[in-house]
Amino acid sequence: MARWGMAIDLDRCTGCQACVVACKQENNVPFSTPAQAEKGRQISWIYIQTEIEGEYPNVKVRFRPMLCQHCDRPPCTFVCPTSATYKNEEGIVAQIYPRCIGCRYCANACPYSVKYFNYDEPHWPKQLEASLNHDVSVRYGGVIEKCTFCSHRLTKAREQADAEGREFRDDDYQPACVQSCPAHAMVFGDLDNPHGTVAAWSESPRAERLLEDLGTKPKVMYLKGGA
Amino acid sequence: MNETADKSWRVNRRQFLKFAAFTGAGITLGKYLRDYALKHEVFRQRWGEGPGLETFALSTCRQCPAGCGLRVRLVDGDAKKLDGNPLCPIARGTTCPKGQAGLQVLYNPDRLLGPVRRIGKRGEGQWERISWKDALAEVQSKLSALRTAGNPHSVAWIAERNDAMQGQLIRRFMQAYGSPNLFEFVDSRDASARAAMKLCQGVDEFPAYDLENTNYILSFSTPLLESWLSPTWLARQYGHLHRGRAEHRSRFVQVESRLSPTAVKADEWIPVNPGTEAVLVLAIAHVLIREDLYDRAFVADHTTGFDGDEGFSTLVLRDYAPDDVAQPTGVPVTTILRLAREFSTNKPAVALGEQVPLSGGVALAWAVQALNALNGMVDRTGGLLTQRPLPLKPLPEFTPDDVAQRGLKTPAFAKSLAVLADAQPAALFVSSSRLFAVAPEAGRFFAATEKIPFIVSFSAALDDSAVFADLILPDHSPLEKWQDAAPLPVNGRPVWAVSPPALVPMLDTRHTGEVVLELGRNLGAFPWKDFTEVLRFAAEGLFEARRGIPFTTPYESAWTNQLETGGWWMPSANTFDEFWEQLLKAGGWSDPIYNYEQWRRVLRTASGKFEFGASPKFQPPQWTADEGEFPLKLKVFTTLTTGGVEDPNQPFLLETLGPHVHARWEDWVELNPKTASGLGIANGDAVWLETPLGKLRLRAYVFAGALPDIASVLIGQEHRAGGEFVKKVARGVADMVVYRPDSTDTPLAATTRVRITKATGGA
Repeated sequence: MARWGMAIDLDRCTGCQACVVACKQENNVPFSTPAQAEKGRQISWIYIQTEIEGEYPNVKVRFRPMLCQHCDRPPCTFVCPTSATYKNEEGIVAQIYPRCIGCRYCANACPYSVKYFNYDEPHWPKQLEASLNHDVSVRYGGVIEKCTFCSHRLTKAREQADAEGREFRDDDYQPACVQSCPAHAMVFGDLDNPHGTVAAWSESPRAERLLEDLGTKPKVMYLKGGA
Repeated sequence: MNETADKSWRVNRRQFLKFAAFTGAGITLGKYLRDYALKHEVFRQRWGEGPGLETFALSTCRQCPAGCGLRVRLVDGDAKKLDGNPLCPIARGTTCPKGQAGLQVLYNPDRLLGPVRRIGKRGEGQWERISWKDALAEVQSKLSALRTAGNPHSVAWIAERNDAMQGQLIRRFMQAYGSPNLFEFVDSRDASARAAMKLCQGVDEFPAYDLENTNYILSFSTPLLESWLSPTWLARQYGHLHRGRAEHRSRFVQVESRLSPTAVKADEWIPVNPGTEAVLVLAIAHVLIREDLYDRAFVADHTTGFDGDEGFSTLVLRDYAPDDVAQPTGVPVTTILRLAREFSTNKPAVALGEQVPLSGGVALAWAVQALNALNGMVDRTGGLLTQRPLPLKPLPEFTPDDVAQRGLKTPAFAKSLAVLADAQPAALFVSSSRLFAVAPEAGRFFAATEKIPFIVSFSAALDDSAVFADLILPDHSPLEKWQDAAPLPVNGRPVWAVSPPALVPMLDTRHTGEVVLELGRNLGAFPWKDFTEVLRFAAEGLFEARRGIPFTTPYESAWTNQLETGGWWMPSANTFDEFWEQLLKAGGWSDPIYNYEQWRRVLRTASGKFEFGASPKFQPPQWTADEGEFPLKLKVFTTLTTGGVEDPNQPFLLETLGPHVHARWEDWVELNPKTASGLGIANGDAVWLETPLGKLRLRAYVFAGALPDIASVLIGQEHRAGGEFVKKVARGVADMVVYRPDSTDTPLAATTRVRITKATGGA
């Protein structure tokens, strides 16, 4: 079984947000309204986190694409009373919407704050419904949603490989954010594949995992920016 | 699908068509799109209930002028996702966020169902649906009346600068009709850079940059990672320059009067007083000359105007010593010295000086051009390049008739929005609304529209250019139409994207290219039956050029480059029809080779040399209004997600506006913490922004990257009409900016003083 993971090179990332929009389009993430955004209820499975350090003129700002870290020890799954959120056998932290009772324990337990609650029923103008992706279920009010590493693409890629009568390769599949990245700052693949790019990138001396000391064992690696 | 359901939908459709025919309000898609779509006998109750047949089609992105190739994922004929065309040399399989959001243009709820005519007063928003036949007849009769009266020159046209076929057709139409008043606008490039190319190199085109091969980028307020040039291509180059080459990382320095997202991602940000960038450039030139760091061989062999009493070197050494420049620019002497030394010793290095959406002026563009020449980086690897021509077949020879000849000889007035408004044309055609969102003092134009008797817009929705029109002839959405794109110079290699419609037009819209063909037919300007024929005609030039290839993989592109370098070329097709098929299958054509140091091609001045030319006398920025009354200076910017967008009514873009200050769904002003606390303003407060032209209510973000005493404000969102999403947020900052053009009619950025006061109530 593969162990899916991602590496993001912050020295390549331009903070352009192509990944952010690609994810929303691929995963039927409802867009917010100004009122929802004002209350901090905007849903973005991946977004650009900004850190500002120092004072003018010695100020340093850093951009970091922030998404579910797909922890190997995910705190969110330990607190879920209904097993709506769990880690599947390939390491993807998944969410089963019909099981979710909207208690939001998981959102609070997540040290990365990347689980999103649907405060409202999602709404699309009729005509925009035509652009919704059939492969991804539309969530409803009262449930938590989060990044799935585009696992629907994994399912499809497996079926495709089966149909073609060949072995599934880990480069058969990549999430929408990785596919869209114009700076080629994101790579995705099987962390257990020693010849894969993700494995190579995570060996880099610049590689870091966020809040590793919590023991969450995240599977998203960041390569530090700067010279 | 069952019979009953089918019937009930059909009844709805009839009801709707009846409804649409009689109301002025029911002219946009509203909630009736589904019913309307039934006209094309496509039956779907709700999304996701078809057989789920997945197909892919190629198209071209029109969210900005860069023209990236797209790959559209369709399921049962509905577009589901846009991604880059992997074969397109610009996109290479990726897009920027604007490209990703493109389906919100296609399925924009505010799209017009078909052509409409204004009833009621201008700006009231009362419209009636009319047929294409009536609409075109009305335009034709106005046009022939003006021509019969001998006034063809009183017709003006505002269009996007577009060297592809639709743009060429509009140019030809205006020529045949007899009006010199075609105003071509593009906000992804700084028009003054083109003026500087003309001055120094005699080339009337925007410069191109060899960024993929450079070592050092010195950018003066150029929004490299925002709305400039080609966002997808630039992001790829950025990644490549930083980590794409083993053991070798390029350096990127951003000089700007605001910590923009570009400055955030630069290796170094150097704050500079707004409007003084040109002085800084010349001070760097001063150090290069004084310390003998410049490229002596290049200057001696390929330039004029360097030596002598009035020469570049004399003036720069006399007037731009770092000690004199440090104070006005706010950049310390040591930094100037270091920049000059880094720039000249880390070759290949390139300096950039294009500000968008408003310009740094020809003084800055010229100084940057001169700095690149001084460093010997003109037409060299990693430097400043000159676009190679795109060998599209030129339109056939055409001689305008006497009426047109007379009209074309009249002085042109369509140089800027303000001048155009003052000239009061008898008829105005608008095929791009982008200008209205970023033109300073656009309000003056809108006030003058009362005096323009006939205005025709080609907008697909009720946007800023459509709101004051008499007739709207809505264009297809880009994914629905035959398209071609000839991107403005990027890296000097010619590219032509071409694509058929990815899906059937949903509404009663019409290709603007087809409409122009129709309008020009009576003038004998166009021999073609339809727009597709025009594209095929143009492509013949590529087939006969005996160079380049249809879009292909990086490997094949590199191989073609190698072959062409050795003087070889392999035809990809034996017949034109075969070639055309290849083009459509790949999404376009490109020629991957660039031959450096072709001096006769790139230095086309009378002397055949790079001309340092005119005196580099710099005018300090003139700030409008009194410093006591308006204590802050205004700096305007656009973000990557708003820059160049024709219709910003796209929620995905509106909720990702400014990640550096967490801004979304709004127009905002960035203030330095000290400045803000002096004004009693806290982060997130509502403030009034006042300029001599008016006042606006905005949200203030207190941002450590804002310079003291400068108010940085987002412009570029439409606000007069706007669709259901954008109208909630846009305020119209461009109207507050004082219009002051430089000698080439480019509106300058550093012009306006402002006052910021705290507003009561929330933002």
